Amino acid sequence: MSRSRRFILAAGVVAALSLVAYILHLVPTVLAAAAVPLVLVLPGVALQRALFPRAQGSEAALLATTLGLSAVIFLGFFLNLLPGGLNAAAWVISLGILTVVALGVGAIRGPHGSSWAIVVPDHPVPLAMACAVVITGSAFLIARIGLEEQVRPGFTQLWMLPGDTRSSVTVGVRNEERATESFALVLDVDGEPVAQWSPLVLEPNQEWVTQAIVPAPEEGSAVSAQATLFRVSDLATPYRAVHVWLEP
Amino acid sequence: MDPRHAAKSATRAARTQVRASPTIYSSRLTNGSLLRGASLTHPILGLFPVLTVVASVGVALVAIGYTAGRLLLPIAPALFWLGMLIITVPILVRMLAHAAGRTERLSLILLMSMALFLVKVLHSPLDFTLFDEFHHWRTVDDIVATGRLFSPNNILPASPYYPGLEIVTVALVQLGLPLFVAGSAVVAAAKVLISLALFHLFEEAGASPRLAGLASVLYMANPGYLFFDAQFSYESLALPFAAAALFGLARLQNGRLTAGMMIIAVLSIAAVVVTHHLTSYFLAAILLIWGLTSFIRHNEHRWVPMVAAIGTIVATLLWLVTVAPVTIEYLVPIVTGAAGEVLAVLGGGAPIRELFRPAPSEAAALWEQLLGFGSVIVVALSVPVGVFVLLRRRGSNAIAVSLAMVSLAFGASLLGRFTERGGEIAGRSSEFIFVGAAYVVALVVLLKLVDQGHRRWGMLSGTIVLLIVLFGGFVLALPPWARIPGRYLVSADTRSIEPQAIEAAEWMLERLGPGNRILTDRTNRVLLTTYGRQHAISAAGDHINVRAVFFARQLGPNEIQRLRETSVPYAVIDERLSTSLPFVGVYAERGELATTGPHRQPMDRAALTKYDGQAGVDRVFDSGDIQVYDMSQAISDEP
Repeated sequence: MSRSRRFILAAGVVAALSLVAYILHLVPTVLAAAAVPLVLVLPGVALQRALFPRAQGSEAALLATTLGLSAVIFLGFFLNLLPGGLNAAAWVISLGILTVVALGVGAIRGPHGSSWAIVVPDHPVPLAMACAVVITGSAFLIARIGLEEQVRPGFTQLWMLPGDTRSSVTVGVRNEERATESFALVLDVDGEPVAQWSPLVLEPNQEWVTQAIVPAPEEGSAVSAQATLFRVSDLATPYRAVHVWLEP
Repeated sequence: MDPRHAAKSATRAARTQVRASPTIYSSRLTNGSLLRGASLTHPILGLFPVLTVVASVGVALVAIGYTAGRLLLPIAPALFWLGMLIITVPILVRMLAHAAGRTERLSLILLMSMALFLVKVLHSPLDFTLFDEFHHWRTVDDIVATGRLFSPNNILPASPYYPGLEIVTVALVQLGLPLFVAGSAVVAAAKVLISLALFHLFEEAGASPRLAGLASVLYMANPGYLFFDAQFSYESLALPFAAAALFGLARLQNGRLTAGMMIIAVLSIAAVVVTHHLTSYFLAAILLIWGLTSFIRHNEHRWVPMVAAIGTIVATLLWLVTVAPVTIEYLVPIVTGAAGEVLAVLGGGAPIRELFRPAPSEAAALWEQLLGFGSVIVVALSVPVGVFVLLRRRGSNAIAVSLAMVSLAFGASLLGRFTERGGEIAGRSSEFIFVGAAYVVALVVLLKLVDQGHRRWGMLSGTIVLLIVLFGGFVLALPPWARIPGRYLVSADTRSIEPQAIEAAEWMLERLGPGNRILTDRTNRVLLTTYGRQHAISAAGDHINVRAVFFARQLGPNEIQRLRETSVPYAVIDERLSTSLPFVGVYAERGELATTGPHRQPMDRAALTKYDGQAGVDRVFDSGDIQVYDMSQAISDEP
């Protein structure tokens, strides 16, 4: 079997497997793995085989890319007109049908030679490609490490929202300081302390949330609830502060 | 001839050619001391395998440069530029050589295109951080959430009505890919398409593979190529379709009038029309120039570009009027503003814009400025020479002459750069004008430098000139402060995207739900709209002007009344705005300068803290630099 035939056969198999994967509700990763070939490669290759059976090499690649991308765009407009709109099932079915039909037309129209003149990957291509992939993969790793280790100040979130009742508030603290921190949290209502939590020890990325009971506001006057967060290492300086007005 | 037999013959011929005329480069590698006994050239792909490894080393150096930038190491820019040199110089030199075959040249173009795309991807390898990307991210989110096209998007109103990019991305996202991976895959496919399309277009214009290859590489020198047209944005996909349309039409005009090629041209033009407004206008303009040139020169099949131009204009106008009228109010102020500014400068009524204007703290280095100017000068001088050469040459291909005519617009675009808005349009037009300019400059470099006189000096001078054009374009692609990642900067697009603001946006979504109307600054607007799925008010998308409230030093009755009228109950405030001038020139949005005048001082801190202590205003969130205020009670009271 020629190389191009094997490629076309593989394309058909991927399209069919994608369809089966969706119908059988197989794990999403199967579908995700098939997404790029199913959307960006197969429709284009199939349409190129159907419309330009004699195109070769880079020209075939150019035509396939143009046809594939534009086909997906106009398929999107078509799906938008259908009751279900754009969704995974609609994509798998429509792209699968498009690919299989176009492959069929291509098989009838096509010459029995190589349309995709894939260069024979003899020496030193595989070795060079393997090196390039390893180096580029390392580049991604380096960039990702840079992102994780970026020099930037840490921060802590303090928030407070009115609770489920007029006499409660929900208070939360989230530590994003990159290190374990000890906090002290004081809750006042109209300047009078009503609750305190200390020490509040939070690991990096850890969140603490509580619902606190506060005196209910009297008719005709709103009260101000204020939460102030301190670092245990510096109890004199408020680190974060929030407040809400509680209406009667 | 049996195609299989033809392919074998071609392979044999290529092997013979390589053996018969080894270049100074390949002979050194194959016969020299570098790797004695080991052949590094491929019979068809030539030095492509070796240069792929070299380019990947360049990409890795750029990644190390980015990481150094994030760690605040001063060596970061040097590593970045060294990586860029390693990616580009060997490919450029090989493209100038006679020995490389067509397949090798095409492979090298694809290699360089992908390597430069990786330079953009590695800038932020896990998430989108370029400003325009957030606009299209929101449109994708809306389509995925509703299953429908055309949901309004208040931060870029035109985006949902030109959904080509989003449709392809949505298909991948709905099949399970994360948005960043899906969007990057679509743009990568677009990069492959534009590389293939331009090479074939230049060949249709009568270029040899050598000239077509060099012109394709020079196209990458347009300032939009490295970052702007590599980002997740509609132009990144529309531009390759425009190139494919030009290729299809060129093939038709050259006498290969097949139904298939007509389908390619029509599909590509239609794809441009539904993907990006500006690209469709420029495509129509290029086709008009091409059509008129063909008619004037009485070229064969001259109706092809003219019919295509008329078809593009009709389709573009139809789409604009029936589907995307919102684009008119988006573009008209920019175009009329630019025209007015240019006229004012020409009439002496307005000052000339300062080029390479220093940002608040980091000015472009002198060598960058020299490279930027140098590249513009080389292109500006090459264009008339190239046009002259093409017009004088008997039997010049109609497409080549038309490309030369398109390149003449380069001079006009330079005029625009001396005004604020004109500079913006000139910057945006470079990717279109360079379709012609790249061809003309490549022609001039080959004819007048490389292939003239002494071979080595020709190669050297040609390489230097090409490097000036290429690196001038890279220098102009992004300002220095945006090029390398680093510490947070105020209102600096990609440099303002950091975890504290992102987590504030995510907190809003989790605790307050989606769709809250919010008064905020430029950076937090895009983060709240995407990560937070909120409705951060923008003058362009909501037709609401709350700038006066944002910049007011106190939250008085007038401000409360304005917020009540516009139903804006939340404010998200970033106190860092008071620490520096905005790097992109504005804190909130373009129109603010009409309210505030040009910013000479950092934003008044009182304008950011005015919400504290106000009756009926809750400060519900505080993460140090960012606070969220709930003003529902204040604006619900009767005045």
